[in-house]
Amino acid sequence: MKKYRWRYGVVSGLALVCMISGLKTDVLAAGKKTGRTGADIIAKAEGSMKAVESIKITVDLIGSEGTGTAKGKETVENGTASEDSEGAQDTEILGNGEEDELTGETEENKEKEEGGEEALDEEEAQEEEGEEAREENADEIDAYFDDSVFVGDSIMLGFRNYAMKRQDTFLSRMNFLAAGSFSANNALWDVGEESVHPVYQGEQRQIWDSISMMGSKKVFIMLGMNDLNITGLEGSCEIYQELIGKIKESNPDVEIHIMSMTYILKGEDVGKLENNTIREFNGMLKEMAEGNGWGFVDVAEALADENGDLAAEYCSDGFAHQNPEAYDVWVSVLRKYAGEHLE
Amino acid sequence: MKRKGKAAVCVFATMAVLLGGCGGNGSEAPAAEVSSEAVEVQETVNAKPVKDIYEEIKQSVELYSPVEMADSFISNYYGIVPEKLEEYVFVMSEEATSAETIVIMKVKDEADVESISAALQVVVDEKSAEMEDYLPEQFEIVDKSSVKTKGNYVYLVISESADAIIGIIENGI
Repeated sequence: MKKYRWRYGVVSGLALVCMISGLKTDVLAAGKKTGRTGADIIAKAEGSMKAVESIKITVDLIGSEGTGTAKGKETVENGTASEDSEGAQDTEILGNGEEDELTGETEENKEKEEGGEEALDEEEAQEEEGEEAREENADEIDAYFDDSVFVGDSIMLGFRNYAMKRQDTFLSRMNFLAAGSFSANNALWDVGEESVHPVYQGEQRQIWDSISMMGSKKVFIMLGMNDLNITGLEGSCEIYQELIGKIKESNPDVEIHIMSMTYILKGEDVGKLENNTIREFNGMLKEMAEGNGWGFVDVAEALADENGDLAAEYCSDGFAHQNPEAYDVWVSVLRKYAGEHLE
Repeated sequence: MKRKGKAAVCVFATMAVLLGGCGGNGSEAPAAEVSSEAVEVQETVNAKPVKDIYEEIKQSVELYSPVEMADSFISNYYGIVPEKLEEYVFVMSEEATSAETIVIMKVKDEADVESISAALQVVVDEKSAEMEDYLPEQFEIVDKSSVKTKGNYVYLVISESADAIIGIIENGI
């Protein structure tokens, strides 16, 4: 019977790997959602903790009662049921005074599991520390946006209105140059009857002029939604760069922070306006930002679901526009970004 | 008999006063001016605070995620100096896909009514340009709207329920 003992080890190992993998997926999902709402994180964390407890109970039973086979069998049944009979044989092994060695194996797995728990705890602790640090520096973080202007299209317009509704917060100090249908392409147009430049001081102006008038020190810019179908990926990137060049030309000391273009709902593609293209576009924007010493704020991923589409819970119009819960996430992402960039 | 005598004196005196008031061409014009001023004063007395009018609108019409904009908003973006206004509400929808806008402004000096109207026309033009090739239904709503004035009041309503809202404003100012 002893010859089957290695199989028990394999069975137990496989079972635990399966369970730990399941747990890891949960943890990763929770981690991915860190930039979202507190409620999401709590819900995920609770789920993960239940999984941890469940595994711990299983491991404890295997280790302490010496009935590893029973629990091993139970676990294996969830994975590879063919090992069942050998599990039964292992019961005999246990009865033959082999538990020390066996216990040693399960203890090892238990240690691994505990190691996994520790990693999880460490990750959570780091996140908590980050939150605490952000709370300690809250005023500095909020002040980071005092001389900033947010440039964009109707998605940004939604953020402007969200900010206007929260006048008792730091958001009231942000400036905006946002207009529906605005794009990197039409931002380069002269002011005219057809142009949609954001209005500032009572009239449409090209954004580099408005930025000069505002005396902004930081420009956060999110465009592309109205560009991809006009100039495609490469062309839109070139136009984007040209526009930033215009801003820098008039405002050489201004800091540029590109914000990733947010995704649209699954299945709502319009020509090149689809999520894989947007993902690629964001990658190109990130490279462009890094290559020029500009910042890059990734809001899109924080709002994405597990498939990389705009999460339905954040969409307000069944397409691409976003609700206040989405803008809560924006604020969270922006404050985290500010915390990382405080001098 | 004494009572009848007193009554006759009163009637005579009243008629004399009334006839005196009507006498002469020169007195007719001032009487008309007084009447006009009185109407205007009466209107001002009856006008409700614009915040109350807005509350009434909210009670009567379902607005689409309204956001009341602050002084900094109207001055930064539309160049309207808040100090020129006795009171105002400037409401836009929080949703970028809705053009709904309600603005009621009571201007301190009637001389500024024209410039405030021009500033609100910028709002109309802005919304119109944004919606034209994007959301045709919203564009139609914007297209039907216009800046209106009445005395020291300037107002703008861009809404599906514009008629009802305008009715409430007209009754309130």
